[in-house]
Amino acid sequence: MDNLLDREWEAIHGVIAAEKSRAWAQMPPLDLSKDQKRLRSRRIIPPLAVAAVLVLAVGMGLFFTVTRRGERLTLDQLPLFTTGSDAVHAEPLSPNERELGERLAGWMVLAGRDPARESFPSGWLLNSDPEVPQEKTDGADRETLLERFLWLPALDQEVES
Amino acid sequence: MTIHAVPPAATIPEAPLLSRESLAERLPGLQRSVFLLCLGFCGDPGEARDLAQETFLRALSRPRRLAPDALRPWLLRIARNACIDRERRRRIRRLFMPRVFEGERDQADPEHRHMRNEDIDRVRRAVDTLPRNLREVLVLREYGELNYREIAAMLGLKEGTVMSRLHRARAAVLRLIREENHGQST
Repeated sequence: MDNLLDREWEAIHGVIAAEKSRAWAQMPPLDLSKDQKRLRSRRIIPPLAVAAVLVLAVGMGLFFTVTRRGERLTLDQLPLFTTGSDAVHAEPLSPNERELGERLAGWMVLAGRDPARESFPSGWLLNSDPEVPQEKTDGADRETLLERFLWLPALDQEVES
Repeated sequence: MTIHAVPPAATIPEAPLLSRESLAERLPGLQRSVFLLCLGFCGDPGEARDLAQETFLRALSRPRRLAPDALRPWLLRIARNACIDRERRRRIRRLFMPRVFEGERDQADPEHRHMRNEDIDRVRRAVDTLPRNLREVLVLREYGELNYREIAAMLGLKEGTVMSRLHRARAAVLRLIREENHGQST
């Protein structure tokens, strides 16, 4: 049986040999110098890519830190609040006002302060009504802040937690 | 009483470290072996050329201490691994993009497809149908032209296992070809 198999296999072996000869004859020689160039690229590009990503990450971090820190808003830039009553209530905010509010919350976080918990320094924000005594605008409490900023996802999570 | 001095243990010289340059000098002589092994695994001359190129790239990136007669098996092992990696990637692509894969197969190296005759195609189909453990041994033997000892060392098998698998692989290929011939004749 094995002899039969071996004899039959000779024909298959011949076909495989023909396939190999034909394929090799048609194949142009490999350009191994191309491999040397690709090898140099493989050795240089990954470290370069890592360095570029690191530089970009550090640069962006510095940029946002430097440009954001120390900014102050004036009352004119924050028309966020209604006037004229003791209980400050929120009105629908325009897109610009929402953006300002988001930026404010972001800056507070960057300064290491929790916008959901801390009170704002007096005169920094909100109620621009000159009739309301200053001490009532000092230290807007958490509930008031949340009422004003409930549309900020971060603050919503603070409430739930 | 005669005391025979015990000779010092023979020191085995350490295999030379093949620098990248010396490796690059020796590789052209092994192009044929590498190419044919890749052809055995992938079945397409164009793809086999790419795999051979990849093999040499990998070999050049990792100079090794090799005895002179160990270079060829080492290189063929790299080629085998490159072929396995490509097959793995194709399986994943086939899983997620079956239509793209079908198009890829149909267009694989059209210049060579029309030059293959029916016999080669028939044998190729039979080999491709084999289970992986049998196909691997058959390809290493028939295309890579490795002997039993080299195949056993590469796959981590005993020589007897290699011979057994080779026998089963050949029998399976013959059976598949006979069935195909019988199917065509009826």
